[in-house]
Amino acid sequence: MRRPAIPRNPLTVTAVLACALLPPVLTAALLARENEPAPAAPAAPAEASRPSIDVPDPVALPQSQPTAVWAPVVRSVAALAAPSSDAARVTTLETTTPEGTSNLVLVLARRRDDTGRLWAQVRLPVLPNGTVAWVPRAALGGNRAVRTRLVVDTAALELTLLRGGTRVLRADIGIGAPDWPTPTGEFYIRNKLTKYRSAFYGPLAFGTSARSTVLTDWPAGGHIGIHGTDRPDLLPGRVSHGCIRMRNADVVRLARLMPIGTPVTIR
Amino acid sequence: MTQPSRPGDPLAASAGGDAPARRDRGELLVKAAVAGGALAGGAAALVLLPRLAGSAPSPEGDVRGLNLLLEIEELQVAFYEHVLATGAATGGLLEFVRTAAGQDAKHVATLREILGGDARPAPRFDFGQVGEPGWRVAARIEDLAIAAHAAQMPGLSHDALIQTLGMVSVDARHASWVRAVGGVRAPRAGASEGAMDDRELREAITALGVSVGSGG
Amino acid sequence: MSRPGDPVGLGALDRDGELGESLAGLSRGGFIAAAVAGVGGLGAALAAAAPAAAATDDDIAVLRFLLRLKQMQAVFYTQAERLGAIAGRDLEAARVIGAAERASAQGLARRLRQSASSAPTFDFQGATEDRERFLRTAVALEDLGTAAIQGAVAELQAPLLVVAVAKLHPPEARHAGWMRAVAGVNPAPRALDAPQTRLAVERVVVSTGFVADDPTTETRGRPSFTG
Repeated sequence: MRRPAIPRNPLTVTAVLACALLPPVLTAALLARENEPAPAAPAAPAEASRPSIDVPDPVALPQSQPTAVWAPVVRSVAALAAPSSDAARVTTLETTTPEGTSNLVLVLARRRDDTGRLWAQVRLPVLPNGTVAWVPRAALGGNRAVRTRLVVDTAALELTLLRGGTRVLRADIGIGAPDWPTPTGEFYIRNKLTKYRSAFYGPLAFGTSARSTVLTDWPAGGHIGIHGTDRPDLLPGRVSHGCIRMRNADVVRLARLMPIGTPVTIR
Repeated sequence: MTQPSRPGDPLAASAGGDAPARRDRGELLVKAAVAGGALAGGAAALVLLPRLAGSAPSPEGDVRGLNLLLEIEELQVAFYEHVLATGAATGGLLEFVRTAAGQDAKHVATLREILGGDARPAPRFDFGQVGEPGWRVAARIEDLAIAAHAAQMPGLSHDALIQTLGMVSVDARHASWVRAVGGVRAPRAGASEGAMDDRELREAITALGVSVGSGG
Repeated sequence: MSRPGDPVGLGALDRDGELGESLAGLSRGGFIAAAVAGVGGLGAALAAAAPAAAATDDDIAVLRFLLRLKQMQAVFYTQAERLGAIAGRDLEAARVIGAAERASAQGLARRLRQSASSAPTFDFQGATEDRERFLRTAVALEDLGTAAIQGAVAELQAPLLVVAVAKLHPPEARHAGWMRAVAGVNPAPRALDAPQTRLAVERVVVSTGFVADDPTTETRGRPSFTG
């Protein structure tokens, strides 16, 4: 039996095809090498006797749709009133928050303009609360989907975390005192702060896109947070400067269940 | 007769010449006296060698496996020639049949070249009992090559496996293509393929209504 | 986030419904670095002339490379299915092929038993949000996967792994044929599919820009919220 003359591998054909079909090539500046930590290695005898690859049966995704999709802002960009380069500027989105985390936006819709450019309608962490605008899709990073929703009931002084429509957490809360009301509307969780020393804010805090409508000159813009407290005796109650306060054990539970990007309804 | 790995193997021909260090598995094959040629009647056209599924690679495994794949590819070619002869295929199905016939003929030629003197004579196929020689039969016949190859994989040498993957890959594309032509709504589910040994293949071919006789 | 020893499968990481779309992990450069470097320290010392019975360091690197490719495909289809930009036959293809890719990724991850790096973050730059780009990208990814698996089979040494990875090839080729058919392009452009080397595939992947940096969503530091 002979081996035939193996044709020259059309490798470059495939590579060119792939590149031709895919978005424009990024520069080699992205090829900065970095070393990975060596992962734990199994012992050689065990490795030799390991079974081959066992592929499970394919499983469909859960039928429930995500409650929200979010994306990071990867370059500073003007957010516009309409999906068009000619539209009025609403604000400028930066890539980081005052806390130094990636600036996130909820993606509400998408549209192509007449030139074929893809735009994303996003919910913004600006005043007035509830502001939405359009940004070029290219200014955003990878989409992330969540299936959770946080509902804050300012009348009942409680919050509920839902996942796939099912309640997974309920807790008493403290909200803004009459002089510093907690704003109502649709918002989202945009970061989490931990490992700080502040009994006032408890063990951890979530930043939301909501802004105080009265403390507008507050450092970093007067963002409303969800955090623990050193005064659990005041909960439930209208006791804060606008933030949503939780007992420390409850905010720790919330942190285990609620991903960044979760939409928040405050009503 | 054996050949060592050729220096111009596909991976070495990649852009930048960054071929991985491929371990040569040694001599590819030795000539094996393959019994066969005189086939039993009916559909017993497949290589009736002792079932060695799951056994380690060997020269005999290569000859057996490659001949099995060869016969399935010959079945495909013959079927498409039959379809073209009937003139029944039109539109998308005709386009598929013409392309697949040529590509599967290339597979046959390649396998015969690899096998050399170890290649079995081509059987004769009779499609008179197949009924409608449409997309469903084509899809099933393309599936058979994949299933046959899957069963033979453990017994194929590394080199033989490499050489045949590119052919069976195209059979898999054919299987999807003709199903799409037939209006199947979704691709075939599953992350893995079922394997069929020679007996199962024979039964499947019979079930299609194909009769197989010894070649001339 | 998975802990050492936990199964890495995408489903196992769907703690909060994010469907495994993003985990802390590799930068673009790390994608290549990890693909070409051996794991190191596996300790499977084998005679150079004999076929490897156990997986070698290079074998593990090949599997890790395949895992990342499968993860990219899996997240691509998962996102496409979730974001609602595709419908009908396109959506059906994304559902079925996505499920298969997720399963393949789980199988590879289990085989690597958490010795693999965690999945990169992916930004498909609109390719999961627009029908035309979805189809083009799906075709490219499946063709790339087909060539990559074929190349991986040639590169692997442990016989069991050679066969196990070879079994991943026909389904991938079916996907490639199917997506091409859905996209309206020739499902089988050549009589013989050809392999690609690991490095060549990685270069294509990096060139897409799909492997993104993980956004920073958590930080230390005292909050500046209104309190």
